[in-house]
Amino acid sequence: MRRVKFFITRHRKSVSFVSLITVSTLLLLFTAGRIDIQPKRIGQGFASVFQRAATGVANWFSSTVNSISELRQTRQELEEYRDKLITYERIAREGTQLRQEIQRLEELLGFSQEVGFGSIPAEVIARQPGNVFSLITLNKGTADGVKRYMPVVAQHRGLSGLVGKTITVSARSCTVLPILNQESFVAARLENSRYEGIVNGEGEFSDLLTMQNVKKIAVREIQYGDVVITSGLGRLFPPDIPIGRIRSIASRAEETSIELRLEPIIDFTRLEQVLILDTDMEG
Amino acid sequence: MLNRRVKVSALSLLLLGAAVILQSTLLEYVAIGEVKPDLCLVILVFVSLRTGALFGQYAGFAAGLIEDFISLPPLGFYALIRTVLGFLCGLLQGAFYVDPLFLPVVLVVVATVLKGLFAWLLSLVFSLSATAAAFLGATFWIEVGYNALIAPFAFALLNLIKLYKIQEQRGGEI
Repeated sequence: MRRVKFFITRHRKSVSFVSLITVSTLLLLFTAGRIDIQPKRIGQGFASVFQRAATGVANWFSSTVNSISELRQTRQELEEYRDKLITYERIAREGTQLRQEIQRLEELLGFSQEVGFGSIPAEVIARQPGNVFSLITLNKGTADGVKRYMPVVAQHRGLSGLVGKTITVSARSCTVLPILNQESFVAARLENSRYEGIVNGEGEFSDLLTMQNVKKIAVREIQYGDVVITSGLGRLFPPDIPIGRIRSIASRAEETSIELRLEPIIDFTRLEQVLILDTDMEG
Repeated sequence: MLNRRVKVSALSLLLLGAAVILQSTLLEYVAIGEVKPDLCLVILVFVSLRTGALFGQYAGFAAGLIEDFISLPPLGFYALIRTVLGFLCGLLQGAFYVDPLFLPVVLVVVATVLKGLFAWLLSLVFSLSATAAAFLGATFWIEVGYNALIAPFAFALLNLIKLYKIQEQRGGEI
């Protein structure tokens, strides 16, 4: 017994190796071909606790990382959609502007056919500082057939109206003296009662016109809102172009004429497209 | 001294057990073409080199048995293979200086090839469904490469554990 004990102590490594190999081989012999055995079930059950924990941790990390990645992707998509939305909004805005411009041009075209003169369509490119809208610059000049003292008209809410006359003309642009300017005088007539007068601008910071030299007797026949048109006298402006509507009437006992204040047909603050009329050329 | 031995043994068994569990779960995420590295084998080589043939074979047997419980082969299959590998690697304890790169790769490659050979032999002897192709086919060689790749990193990480450092400095078996 003592010799056996000594042998085992001396050859501990080899003895345990042989023992373990033997145990393993016996296990193999008894369990080979049998998958569903009790010890394996127990071992599997025990190991599954740790496997489940490890998988749970992995899934948590995976889902967290995926969530972050998805969030980043969603944010990126959101940015892209926002950019697209901005682009579409801009396109829609441009489309609306384009439609409005087409409508204005159509109105102008209709009007140019109506007046019976040759006309040069032009666009307002500048308003000179100083008086409020005192001078207007158009994008047409001598190269387009524009001359000095040509009448300029425009359309506003379906109505045509007098804008003014060209006073300086360069090759590619011209300057218009609007009827609102106090230097502007237009021979005019009341559309219904046919009384005549002179319309001139009130000048700085006023968007109204004054019609002077109207016979006092006209007071009986005129009403607020009556339209004042060009009379055609003086040959500069062709007749029957609307200028404005009567807003107030001033009559003094000691004077033989009355003074009317007019609201221009054209809204000068929103003037964009105009027609320069060539009265020498019939349309 | 006994205390240190218990600590080293417990830690080694814990690492090997964790490696087996990891192999069946998380290592799927780092698989190359469905081939996972044999982390348990790499750790077993390291542990056997540090602790010697006696503990190496026990560690191999324990790790193999855990693997047997959760895998398809019959009980004793991996236990037998890893016992032999733990024993053989343990015999090399103190035989040479283990550098950080070359020797871990060589030892792990040799251990993996031996594992494949033993598995093949056992499959033949015990008429297991696993064929020689499964152990020595393309998949097996990818595993050899993968194990070789992770060996230096695994050894470097395990070398950071203080208990193994002390074990290396003092030498001798557990």
